Amino acid sequence: MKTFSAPRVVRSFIWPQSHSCNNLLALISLRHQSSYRRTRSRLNIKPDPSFLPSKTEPHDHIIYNPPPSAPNVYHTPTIFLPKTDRRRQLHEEAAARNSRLSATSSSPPPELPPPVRPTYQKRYHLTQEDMEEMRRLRREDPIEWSANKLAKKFDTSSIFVAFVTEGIAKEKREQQKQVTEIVKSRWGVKRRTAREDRALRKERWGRDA
Amino acid sequence: MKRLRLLRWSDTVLSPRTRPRTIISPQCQCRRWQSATHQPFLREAHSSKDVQGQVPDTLSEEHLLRLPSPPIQAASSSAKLAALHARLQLPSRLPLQVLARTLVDPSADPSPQFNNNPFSILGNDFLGYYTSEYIICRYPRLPLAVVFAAMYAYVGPKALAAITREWGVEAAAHPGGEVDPGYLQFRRVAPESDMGSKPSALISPMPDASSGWKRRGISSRTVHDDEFGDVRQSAKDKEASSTAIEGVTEEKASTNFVRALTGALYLHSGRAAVKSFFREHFMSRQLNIASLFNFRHPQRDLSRLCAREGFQSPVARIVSETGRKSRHPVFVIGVFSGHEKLGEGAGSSLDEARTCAAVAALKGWYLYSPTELRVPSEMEEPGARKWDRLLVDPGDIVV
Repeated sequence: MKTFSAPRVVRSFIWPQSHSCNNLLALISLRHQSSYRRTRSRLNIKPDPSFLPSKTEPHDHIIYNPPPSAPNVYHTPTIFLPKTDRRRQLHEEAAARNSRLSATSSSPPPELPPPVRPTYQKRYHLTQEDMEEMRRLRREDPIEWSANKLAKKFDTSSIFVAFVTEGIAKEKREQQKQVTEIVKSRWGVKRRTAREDRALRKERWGRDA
Repeated sequence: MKRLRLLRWSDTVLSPRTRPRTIISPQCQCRRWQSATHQPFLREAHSSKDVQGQVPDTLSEEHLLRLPSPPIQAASSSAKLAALHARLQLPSRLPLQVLARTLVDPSADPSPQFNNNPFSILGNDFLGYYTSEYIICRYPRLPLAVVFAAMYAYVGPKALAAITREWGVEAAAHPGGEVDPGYLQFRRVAPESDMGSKPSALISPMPDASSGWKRRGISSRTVHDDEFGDVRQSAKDKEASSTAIEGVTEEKASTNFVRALTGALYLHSGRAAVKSFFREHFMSRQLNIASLFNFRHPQRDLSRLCAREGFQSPVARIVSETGRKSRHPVFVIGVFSGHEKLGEGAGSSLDEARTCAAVAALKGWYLYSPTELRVPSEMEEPGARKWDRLLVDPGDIVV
């Protein structure tokens, strides 16, 4: 405990207000014997029931309890199997058997997990006139009518705006490229390295999975 | 199919060296039909035959030094060659003399009657055919770029060079008649020569603009290029390169050797022996095809795939997550089409996990494999079952 008293004094000297000092001290983690015991007892998790001695099996038996891991890509999902493949039929039989078992135990059918982004229905609400208007605005003042602004005005996505107004404001595109170049030229070593590393990591997403 | 009577073929196909001993007349046994540089040897061989009435078993050191590759008599007394024959469990119908010939690269001995070039052309066709039919029948939906990469991994030059090393074939420092015929004989590239004249297709996927005809796309490669999707060398280029470059690399020589051995095996032991040889030495190698993929826009590709095949459009859903507000969060995201899970991926951000899930789903589609593997070359065997048609895939996803 003696070792921790010194920094407290220093910090109270730097920040003389007592309440801010207390707030800061609350953030510093102090490791006491009591917290160690608490952590240990919290990590002492009860093992999976399949590892405990079985009540139904009187003899030695095999316990199959694999660790959670990503599904194998060589196991084709049922929907991807061709119509003639025999595995499709086998999967259907297994699913029917499982549903019969779950029906006897009267549990509700499993729900789908929540989506990452809210699901939406495609709306085909823009007419030919709207698109002409979009192009006209973009052609007249590309600085003012950016893709995002047009998307907001016509209640659509900026990708759709890009499809519609493709190749109209080439100067704006070049200008934007130059601006980006200038901004990038001001980056220091650390930021440049970090951005490049991030791009490399992102490239590997499409390869490793 | 009618079986070929290979031993009855004419001399144009089987050179004197490759025929069984009984057919060879004693006159041709040690004669070397070569260019004029070896005239002294021929004359002396004739004179010695005239004097003694039989061919000498051992040649003098002086004769051996003049030969570009080991003579035919040396094959039967080479321990290395016999050991290689036994180690590879080659059939006894493949003579040691032919095995010795497969080890002679064209750069060591330019005469096509003594080097392995004719064998390697035949063997290359066999390796390419058996490998491609195996890959395509095993994974009928693979994109062509991945098929090319898999071909390169199974029977590409690097793989064949590795196989040569695994077989324990050592390279001679310099070819010559006095060298043990159990060594791989080739003339090495001079150390100062320029090797980086033409990069491999795997390094530069697009053909360079300097070649004049700009071809793009993977489909033209199936028609115009070789089995690895590499630009095929035209006859004129080959001639120019052969005059310009004196030697070859060890990788090239090893490649030629493995191909030549396959070709020689076919000529002497037939198709069944080649198939079992291929199965034991090439198909037994492990290749994780899933690691050959590289997707640029997996989510877009997956939604196009689902639209093409008439599935519901894919939706990414969070299966589980931990530490969302910590420094190292982990998200597990599954891609669902309706109630069917297509793929699952984990990542430290929602975007990464979503992309990985889409990649896993696409790999699940492309890596479909039928339960029963049958290849077209099975039908060449006597008493083969009736052929069922294979799955023919509509093709890659083109966006």
